[in-house]
Amino acid sequence: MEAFGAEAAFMATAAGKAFFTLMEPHRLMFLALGCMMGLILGIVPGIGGLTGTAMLLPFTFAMDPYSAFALLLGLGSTTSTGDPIPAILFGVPGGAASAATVLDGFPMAKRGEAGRALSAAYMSSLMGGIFGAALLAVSIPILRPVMLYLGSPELLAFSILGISMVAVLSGSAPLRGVAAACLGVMIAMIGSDPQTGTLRWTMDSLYLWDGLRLTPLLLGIFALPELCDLLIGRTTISKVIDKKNIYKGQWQGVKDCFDNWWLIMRCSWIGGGIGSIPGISASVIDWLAYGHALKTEKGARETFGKGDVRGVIASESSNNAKEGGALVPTIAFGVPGSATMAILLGAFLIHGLVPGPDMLGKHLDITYTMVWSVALANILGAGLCYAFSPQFARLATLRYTLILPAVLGVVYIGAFEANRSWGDLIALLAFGLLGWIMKQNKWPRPPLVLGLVLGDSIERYMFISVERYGFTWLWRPVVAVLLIIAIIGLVRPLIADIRRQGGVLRMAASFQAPTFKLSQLFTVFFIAVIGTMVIAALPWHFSAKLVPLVVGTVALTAAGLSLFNEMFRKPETVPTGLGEQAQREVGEAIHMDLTSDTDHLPMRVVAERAARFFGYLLAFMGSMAVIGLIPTAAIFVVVFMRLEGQERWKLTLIYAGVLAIMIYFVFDRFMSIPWPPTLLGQWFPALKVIPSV
Amino acid sequence: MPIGSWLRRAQLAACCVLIASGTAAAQETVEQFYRGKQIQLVVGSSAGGGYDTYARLLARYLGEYIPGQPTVVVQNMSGAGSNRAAGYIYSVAPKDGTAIGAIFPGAILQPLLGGAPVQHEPAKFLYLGNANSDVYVCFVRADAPVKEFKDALATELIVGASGDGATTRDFPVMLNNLLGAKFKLVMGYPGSREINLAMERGEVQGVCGIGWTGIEILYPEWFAKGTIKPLVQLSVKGHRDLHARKVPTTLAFARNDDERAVMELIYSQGVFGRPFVLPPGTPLDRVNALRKAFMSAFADPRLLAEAKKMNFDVEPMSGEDVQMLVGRLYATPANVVERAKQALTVKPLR
Repeated sequence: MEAFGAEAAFMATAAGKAFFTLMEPHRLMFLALGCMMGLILGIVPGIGGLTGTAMLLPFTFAMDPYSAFALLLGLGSTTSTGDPIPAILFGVPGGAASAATVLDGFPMAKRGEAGRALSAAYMSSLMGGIFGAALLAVSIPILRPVMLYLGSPELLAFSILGISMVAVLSGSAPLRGVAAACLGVMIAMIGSDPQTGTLRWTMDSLYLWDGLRLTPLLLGIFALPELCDLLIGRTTISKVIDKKNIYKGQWQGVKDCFDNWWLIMRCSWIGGGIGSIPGISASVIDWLAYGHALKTEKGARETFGKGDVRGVIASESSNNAKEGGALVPTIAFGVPGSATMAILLGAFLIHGLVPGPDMLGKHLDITYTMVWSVALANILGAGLCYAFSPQFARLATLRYTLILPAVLGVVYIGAFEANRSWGDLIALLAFGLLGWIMKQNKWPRPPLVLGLVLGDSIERYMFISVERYGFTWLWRPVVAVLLIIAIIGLVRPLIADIRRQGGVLRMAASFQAPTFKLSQLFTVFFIAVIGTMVIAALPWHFSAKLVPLVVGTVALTAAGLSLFNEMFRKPETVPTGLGEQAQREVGEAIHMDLTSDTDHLPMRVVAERAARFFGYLLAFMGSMAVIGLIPTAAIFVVVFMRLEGQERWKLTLIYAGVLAIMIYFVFDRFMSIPWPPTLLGQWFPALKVIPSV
Repeated sequence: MPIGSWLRRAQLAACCVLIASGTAAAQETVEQFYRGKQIQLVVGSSAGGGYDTYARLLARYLGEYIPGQPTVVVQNMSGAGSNRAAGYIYSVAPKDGTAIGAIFPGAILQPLLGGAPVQHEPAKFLYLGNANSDVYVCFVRADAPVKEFKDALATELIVGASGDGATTRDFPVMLNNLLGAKFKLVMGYPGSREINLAMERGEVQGVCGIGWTGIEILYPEWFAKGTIKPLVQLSVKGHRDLHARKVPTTLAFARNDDERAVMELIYSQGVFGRPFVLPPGTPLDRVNALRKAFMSAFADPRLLAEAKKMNFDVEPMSGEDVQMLVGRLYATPANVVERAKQALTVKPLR
């Protein structure tokens, strides 16, 4: 007890000393500077923050370690603070960790509650960041022992638990959810296999060697479909325009957060906890927290996905806590928890610090400065965004002809930033089409992302666990507990679903002669794609094809059953009594994804306008190949605004000019992106003076 | 005017500009060429990694030593173990001396030994130089049954490894095939840091193929408490610190010239640890100026001070030397290459 007291006193002293060190004005200034840069760089989805941190690193050589980490962490913690803005306003996730925010934030914006959603997002970010830092601060003494206890089998079990969330996130379409998750896992397997080096499904292209990058995929799956539907609907995002409403909404969002403080605390701990486990991607934290809220919050099953503020709160409070969590493995073991942390590790050595036990003993005060830096950066960043959120909220009331060009431009560059290659844009377009068709046909998209992110680590850690421990790893206590929770999570909804439909027997009795619908074509196409992938995998080395074949078989079974259901199941009988009807409405699970609000338009118009949208994208890429990205962006703005909306020339030209100049400064001058060669540049080398040609 | 004829005129004009600049190139000196120009230094990894940090370090000083003082701008082009950047420098980047590539040694060696398709021929690059070389080492936990390298020839040792093409996979596989070592590989770790962590927590007993540079600084407690020890050096020459600790090199265990030749070939990737390349066809006077600038930049006391702060080893090798080394590698007799390829193949357990 006495030892504990001494320990606590030592910690408190270090924490206090760190706090006052950080409070020095010049250090606060560096922190604020980092925050400002992080917020600006974070506007572009993807890894803007990574490049920023790498470029800042040399400037920190001459600083004292406290200031250096204040600057770097200020930048690193705020690059994702801006993410909820496009997620809520346009349905475009600003980063991998904000994808779940779209699900409830965007419907809220459509309802005219953008102000409330944004303010709830920022208040929960802020609170989540603080709770996450608090958890980190008190758990410092036990970090190393806990981390040393978590081996590959535990990481595997965590990943399986994560993917079992598919059951919740599939909503009313469990079979399609499973099939989509399997497709995600198979997409994650593309590239050089970690066991045998087999190049899986790379189609002889260098781009696919390392597998597909997450940013173009996420932007394709979530952003493009929303933008496409915006063009199809030809309206503003939010139909309600009321100035007073925005400020009232801002206050309402704050109240929502205080009402749901317990949810915020749980989600921020999920975020901080998972962020601190090295080797598990932090990109699904938002989905895990969202799934958790969906499972535990009262009435969530009826309202989530339709604009429930708690969905926004769950997602945003978790992802802001993760940067603090990612500090843990970096500090305690020198294993960076995120890409930004890898750069931070470089900064450690420059300042003569070595990650490891010393950071939790001799240099504890520096560790605490980092914890406080992350917490303060969260307060500053989220606070700034909160203050400006009424201004942002107004963006949702703009005409689609004004919003689409800029947002599309940013989406393009964000995708291109991933690998700086044509492959990124092709992936963006392909997954945009896939995402849009999935959305139109009510296939849930979240399971796809879950499979995509966790598939790789499941394969990796399964091989390590089996190779190292045989099957004895299953009996490790943490593994056993996690797996049991995962199994319960998977099986319970299934049983409930069967019971709801009156048991297996009644389900079997409800078959009829086959019916055909256009939407079944997609399922057939899906089966054909997976089938082709499975056949291509057959000749591979055993360890390279094991997981793809198992997952592929599951996908084929699930999709096959789903198709069978669509064709042979009788539509459910119309309930008779009022009581029965109410019973059904409660029992019916929601469709766990955004639904298209283009139903009022005839099929032909929808198809025609969608073709037009993807035609614009193709034309954009074609033009980029000929004259380069920057001139293309300007021309695209002009063509789009004149053709679609007949906007005034003056406005159009100013818009085009400003966008091109911004892209030029940020990407050509500051980040010096290597532009792919263009045809124009090859024909007339003299024209290469034009940026990006 | 019809568009066709307009295009033709423009083309004609562009041609004239080209010819004019072509004749100018014949007369202009290296200094005249580089004045006001920008050199792109394309790094084959994303921002923040070791290769990137070295490249940025060089970029901060290289320009000063090139006649005409051009600015050097770092661009990141990650993908396919830097093979993508290598392909870009080889065939797409301008061949006028304004493009430099920083690639992994694997992108130079793998086309010789691996079957994977790449878009460049390493022997045809013009080498600018090499920033440092490294000695790879096997480490074991003190409580493992293997205490010395010769124990590993009789007793099984569980070693962690990342994927195909990584030294942590290639080196132990080669030692198993060539010398009959009994390393049991657990593969799939994302990188060497993760393997080291797995070794610390006892999930694996050792690792083979970790660079020696910086290990003492990064993991002081291994050496202070003796929990984890170097077992053997995977290198031709070895490192003086390790010689001082009496850590043997595997070369001493080779039983004939053939085995020695295979080891030398596979260990060569440690010698050119951080190579910098120029596109084939770069004018020779500019290549020479750049090579000279490379060596001078790495002798700059300010660069060395920064490197010291970051605990980076700087051991530059001139472009001419790297060129010769790579030339020799690609002139290796076919039977040795074949033997090396076999040595890197995982054989089914007997």
